[in-house]
Amino acid sequence: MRLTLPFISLLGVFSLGCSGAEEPVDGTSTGGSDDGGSGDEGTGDDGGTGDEGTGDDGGDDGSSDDGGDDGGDDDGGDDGSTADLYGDTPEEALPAPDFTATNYDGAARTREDLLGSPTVMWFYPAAATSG
Amino acid sequence: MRIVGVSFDDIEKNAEWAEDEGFTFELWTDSDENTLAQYYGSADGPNQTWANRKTVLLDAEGTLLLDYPSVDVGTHPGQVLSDCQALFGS
Repeated sequence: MRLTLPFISLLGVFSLGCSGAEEPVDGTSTGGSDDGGSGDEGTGDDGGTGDEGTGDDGGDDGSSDDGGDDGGDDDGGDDGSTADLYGDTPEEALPAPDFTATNYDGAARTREDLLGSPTVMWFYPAAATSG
Repeated sequence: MRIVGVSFDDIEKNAEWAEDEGFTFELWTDSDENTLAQYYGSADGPNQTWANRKTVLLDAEGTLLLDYPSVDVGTHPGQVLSDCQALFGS
């Protein structure tokens, strides 16, 4: 019974937590702020047209090339987040196996039931067992 | 995000547990050969009578993203949640 409590809370928080971004915002904002700085400089030189200058100079040179790709996705997403993860990253790609399991309502579950959205699959020794 | 519990319990036992606890996620009975448990390292063979505690996180294509080979029941859910937010947070 004690086992169930953490996973109940996990389920509840998942529905909230997975829709509330923390990490990507950090990565994006880091890249964005750097680009924004260069964009502002360009804006100042051009002389007062803040939005136009940012769109032409800063936007193309800074945001798209430097910040969007290099900073936000590669560095922040892969390297940064992986280092902070609790789970172990597999050395090789491991696809879902072919299998037939049975849900508690009697319905068959197969590999196709693991597709379409991410899955947390937790194995437990027996129902209603404590840790 | 899909959450699935997997064990070797029969469906009646899982159904009773799900009803008692009000689970809204599924509990699967693994195949007779312990296919899932063996594949993901929760059982050593088809004759093992219970699944070892562990968790795997799969992406939307079913590919293994993260493996949690050992589980501390008290802290594990929060760790998985943290990883979930890091990977799928948007």
